[in-house]
Amino acid sequence: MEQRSSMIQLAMVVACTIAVGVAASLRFPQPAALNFPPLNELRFGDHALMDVGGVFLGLRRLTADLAWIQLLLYYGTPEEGPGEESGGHHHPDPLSYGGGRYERFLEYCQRVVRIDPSFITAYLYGAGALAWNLKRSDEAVELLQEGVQRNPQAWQFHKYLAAIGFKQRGEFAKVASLLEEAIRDPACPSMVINILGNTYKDEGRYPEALRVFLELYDRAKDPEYQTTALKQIRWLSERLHLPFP
Amino acid sequence: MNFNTGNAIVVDHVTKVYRSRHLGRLRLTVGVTDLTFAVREGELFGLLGLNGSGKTTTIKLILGLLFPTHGALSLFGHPLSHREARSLVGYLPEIPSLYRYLTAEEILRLYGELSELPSTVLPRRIDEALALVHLEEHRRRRLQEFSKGMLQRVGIAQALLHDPPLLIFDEPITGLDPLGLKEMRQIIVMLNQRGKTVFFSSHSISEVERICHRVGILVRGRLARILDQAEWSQREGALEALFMDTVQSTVGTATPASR
Amino acid sequence: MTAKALSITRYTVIQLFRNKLFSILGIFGCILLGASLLIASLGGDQQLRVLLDLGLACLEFLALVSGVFAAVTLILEEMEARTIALVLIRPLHRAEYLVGRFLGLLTALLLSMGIMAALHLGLLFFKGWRWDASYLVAVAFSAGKIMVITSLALFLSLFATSSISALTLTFFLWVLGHFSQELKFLANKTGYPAFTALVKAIYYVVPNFAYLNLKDHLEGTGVMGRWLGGAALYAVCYTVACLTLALGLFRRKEF
Repeated sequence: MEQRSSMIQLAMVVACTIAVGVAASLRFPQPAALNFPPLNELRFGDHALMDVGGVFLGLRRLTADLAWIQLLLYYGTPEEGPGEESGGHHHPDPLSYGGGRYERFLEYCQRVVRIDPSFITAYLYGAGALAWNLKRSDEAVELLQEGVQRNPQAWQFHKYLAAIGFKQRGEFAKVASLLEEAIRDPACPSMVINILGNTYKDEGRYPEALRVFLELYDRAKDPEYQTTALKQIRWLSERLHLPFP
Repeated sequence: MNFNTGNAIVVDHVTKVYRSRHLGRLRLTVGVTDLTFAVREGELFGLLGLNGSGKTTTIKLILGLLFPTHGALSLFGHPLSHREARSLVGYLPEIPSLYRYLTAEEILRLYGELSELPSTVLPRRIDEALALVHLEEHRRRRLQEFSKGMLQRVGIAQALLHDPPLLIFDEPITGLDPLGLKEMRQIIVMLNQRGKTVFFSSHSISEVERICHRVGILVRGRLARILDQAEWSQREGALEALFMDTVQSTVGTATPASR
Repeated sequence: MTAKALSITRYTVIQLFRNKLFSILGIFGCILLGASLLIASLGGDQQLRVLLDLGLACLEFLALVSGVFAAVTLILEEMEARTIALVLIRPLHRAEYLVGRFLGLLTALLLSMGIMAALHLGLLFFKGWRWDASYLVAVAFSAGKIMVITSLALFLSLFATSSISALTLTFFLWVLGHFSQELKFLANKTGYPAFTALVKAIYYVVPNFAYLNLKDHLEGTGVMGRWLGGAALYAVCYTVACLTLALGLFRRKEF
């Protein structure tokens, strides 16, 4: 009798705690910010096991980071140029850093942002590279529009979309103005600061270009961008007859 | 404290059946059957039996480590389900299984706190217990460094720490050398002389014969007989003869050695 | 929380910190943190983000492994070694023993996570990271996940026939718990009512780690104050339910 009553007490405790738990989950429903794209929208490709494993173990951000590293490795690995034939052998001609078509660049970017849609920098980096370096503005726009859809509160995407639009129309001043606003954002990739600096430099606006490259040198965490910025600062200082800072 | 009619332990028609499942089939093994006896306060009671006769099962039922299938048990009038009952017992198992990561002092502190010893009294009790078993200089060593004999002595210390009125020892002299055996016998007698009720199981008839007031004989899970000291103290070897008689008459066949 | 349960808690913390497995995992954790510096250097501009995410993942992974292994053996090991007998013959409720052991394990895990988080923060600050309170929220809710999974592991250790099966089932539920959104999606998609009911039942019974996996939402924790309260309550309730079920099984155990 005593045994039965204590089992009933235990069952009541379990039922009450479950009820409170369910009530808590219903009263505080999951905000939209926590909802990730469903699994079937992930871009799996060669890394399906890693991506699915990361998602299933609750490591989305880390999996997205590893996908980001793979994106950088892909974009940082020189592609083979057309090369030349001699003596019956094909001699490949490695292109310089970032040189090449990188046909799968958008796929790599989408892989990152579909695992972690809040990885804003990945969208911006991808769009910047597609629009300015790889000259594939349509893919850049596709990536940014996906970003807008998943992160409606992120203002950066609209700026970049507008900048790409003005770039296509050759309206340099508007592009520069939009990119100036974009680089104020701490999440702005170093590549975009570099793009702005190069844009000013191509238009002959060396003082603005120097200012931007100095900012790039201060902000970049990637040593390659710091090296790039340093080279540009040296070149521009000489052109402007200024002492090297 | 509510003491009932002067009995420290009351076992009332207790049966224990072990249930186990093997390949989906239920197996029932009888541990003890219809056990009924009482141990008086201040008594030194020995439980004798062959291997597998149910001695350890009986002790575990008394301690509440096993639950009876039928029947009831009480300690000093308290049913076993009451916590008061368990504060009145000190237990020394056959092989004391102790937390090897702790030091002697730490484990006694843990058991003392669990036995509801006040914090003002506990340090003194620990000192006394360690002194009784001659382990003062090893108090800060971890138990994993202790020998078997030292662990046995820690086992005794933890049983006596909270000064319980009832002490239960499960085969306390098994594996002891002659000196250890003598020391253990002296401890048991000393505790009983201090007014403690001592209940222990053994297969050493000679030791039981020397110190017990009464003896219970278990045969195949049944309490075949209870003997009073007067029944064996008149002549040497009487208890052994009575024990063998009881076993043979209960089993009903000759022992294998005589075939 | 009774004095006896506190004694059990204290002894459990001592046992776990003197246990070589915990020490080995601690050293392994420090090595992983160091290695994460190397991996993070591949992240370009996002080195800090990679370092942050790697560190949080290592923290949670190590706490998961040590917590689940310790929880599964928490009671079973004592039963096999028979050390539990000299505890349960004392005047304490089995609930005090179970809760004391669980809280001891949780305390040891939280301390370990705290130490690792401190080391991780040191690395982050060294690399120029700026303090963000969402880090604390992420770590706290990782600890919440660990609390839930260890209580589940404890229940399963008393329910399953062996520690291996308890471990396997626990890790399976860890994975399934992160799969909750897909389960809900599946339940709504299928056309068979019986299957929908089954999947929904699994969705509600399995711990929903999506509520607590805030290390994957470091950008958004600032706007979810009310959500955090609900999620924390969910974690506590689930843990209490598991411990109560474990007690139901433990009460009738014989030694």
